[in-house]
Amino acid sequence: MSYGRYPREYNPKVHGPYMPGRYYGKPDTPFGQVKLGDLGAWIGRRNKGVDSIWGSIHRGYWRWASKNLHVRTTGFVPFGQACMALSAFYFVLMYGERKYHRHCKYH
Amino acid sequence: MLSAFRTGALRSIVQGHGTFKVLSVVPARNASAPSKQDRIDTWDYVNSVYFGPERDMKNFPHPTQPAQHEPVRMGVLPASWFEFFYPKTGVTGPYVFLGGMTLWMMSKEIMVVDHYFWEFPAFWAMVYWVSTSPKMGPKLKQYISDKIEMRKNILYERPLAKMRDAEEKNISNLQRLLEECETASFVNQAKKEGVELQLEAAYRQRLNTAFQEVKKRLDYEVEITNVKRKFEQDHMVNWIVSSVTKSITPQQEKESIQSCIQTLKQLASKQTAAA
Repeated sequence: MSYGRYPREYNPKVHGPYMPGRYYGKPDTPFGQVKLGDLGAWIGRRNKGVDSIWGSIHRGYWRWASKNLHVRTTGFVPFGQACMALSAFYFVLMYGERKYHRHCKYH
Repeated sequence: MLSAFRTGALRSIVQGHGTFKVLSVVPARNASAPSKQDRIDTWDYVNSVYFGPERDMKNFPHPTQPAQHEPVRMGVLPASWFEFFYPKTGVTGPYVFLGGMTLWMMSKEIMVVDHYFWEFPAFWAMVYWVSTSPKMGPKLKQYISDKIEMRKNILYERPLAKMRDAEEKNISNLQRLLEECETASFVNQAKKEGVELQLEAAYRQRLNTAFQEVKKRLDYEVEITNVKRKFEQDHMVNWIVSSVTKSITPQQEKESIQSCIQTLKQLASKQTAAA
């Protein structure tokens, strides 16, 4: 269990100070460069454990925050992005309720 | 507790002086607080770990804080998302994707136009209006940048300046101490010279005293000799005069008067002969 610890691959002598937004494992092809045909294999190579998913969310947040939120002069942008994310989240959350307000029966 | 307050450790915490100051006055017996040397050792150790020979600076460069958020399109959407589309769909691809997605969701009523729907465009229209309004936008920007400046000042610059001032004061005090230590040898020399001067003065004083005393005695001798000689002379003169006076008889006196009258007569005759 690696909860509350550094990632197993992190080695301060090689990697320097720990950056929570950085992936210290063996890098795979970035998602943007994956060919459609290799997508299945690419997804198959991913770790799907709870730790890994939580780790990826965590890394994603820190990567976003270090680029947008924890900058020297923070503007409206990160908060606007958070608003957008909240909108999307609530859209999904309330979808089941909102679909009863449809105007047309058939699409 | 009170002694801690007296040493300045607690007082500086209460008054909000920098931790650096606290470190410099915490006594060595307080084992729980790391000493300055401990901190320096830790710093050196961490440096040796992070910047050792194994460090891969090329693939894992040192983290830096960017000045601003990453570039965005349409206010909030990251430009990197648009760049993600470019090689696959061209420049208009992401816009087509956004618009198409919206249209598809609306036509299939996945996104339903209900009373919740207008919250989204209304919110963003308001944001757009506030940020582009010539009255509110700059004012808001000024207000926020002032806040950021103040925060930076409170959290970063002021404590740093305080620490620097404290340390500079410390350094100047130590410099002063060093100078005082250096002057100590001169003080010793000055004291030595002072004592030598005093000795010299005392020696001269004694020489002078001896001279004066000898002079006094010699003067006394001279005076005694003078007085003796004067007395002898006076006595001699008195004695001779009195004995001469005593030796004159009335006969001799008469004769002498007679001879005097004779002499006067001769003188008078000489005077008339000359006239």
